[in-house]
Amino acid sequence: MSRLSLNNERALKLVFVPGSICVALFVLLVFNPASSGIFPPCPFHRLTGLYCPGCGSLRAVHQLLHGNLSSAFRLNPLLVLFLILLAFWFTFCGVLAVRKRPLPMGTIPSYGIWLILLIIVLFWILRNITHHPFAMLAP
Amino acid sequence: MYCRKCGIQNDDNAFKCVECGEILQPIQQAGVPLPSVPNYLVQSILVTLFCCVPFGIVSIVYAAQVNGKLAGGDYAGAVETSNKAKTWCWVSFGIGLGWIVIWLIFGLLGGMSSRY
Repeated sequence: MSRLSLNNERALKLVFVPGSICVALFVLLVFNPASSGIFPPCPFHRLTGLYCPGCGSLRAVHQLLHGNLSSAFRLNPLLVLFLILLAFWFTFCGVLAVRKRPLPMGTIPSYGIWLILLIIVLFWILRNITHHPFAMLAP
Repeated sequence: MYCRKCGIQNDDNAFKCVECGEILQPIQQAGVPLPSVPNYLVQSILVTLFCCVPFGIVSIVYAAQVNGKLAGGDYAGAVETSNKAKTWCWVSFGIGLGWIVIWLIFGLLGGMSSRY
């Protein structure tokens, strides 16, 4: 495959996706989801009254963009942990790419993914418990 | 090379058809390493955390199966499951995006009606 042939999927990945992410981040930087009405409430929370694993993620990103790591962590600890891991992973891959080493793609074993799923589901359940240590997980 | 399913022209080395996703290469070629199969794990987790709908979880389940099948040598199965993971990521993303659009439209209408 020649490197210059841009098919639709590549064009989407190279231009549209980073562009949309930048726009979304800019909107999140300027508007605080906790006070401005332009962001929709979580549909799951709206329907059931329960928190989903993603509740608080937009508010957390707003706090992150303003450098408030601890506020972000209180709103959605799982999201902040995941973003930190993601940042490390991309830095790691970037360093490997610069050194022209092969990228360790697809090497995460499936039990690792089941573990991630278990953590998300546990987080989902625990943050809905209104008792003391778990209530801290709620946004 | 032309796709045998939809007839669109593809790169000679393309693994999947750019139009319909049909697998173009013979599944097992001796000596030629098979291209890696994406499991969409990162995308799945992101849509789970940002789109607030349980479909992201479905996607993560498929992501786990992709790597399980790859480890077990079931390459065709892994490709199929990878496509399912991708589909559920998009479903989740689409619903999340649709929810935002609906919210904005209703907010705009609400804002206009309160002005009059």
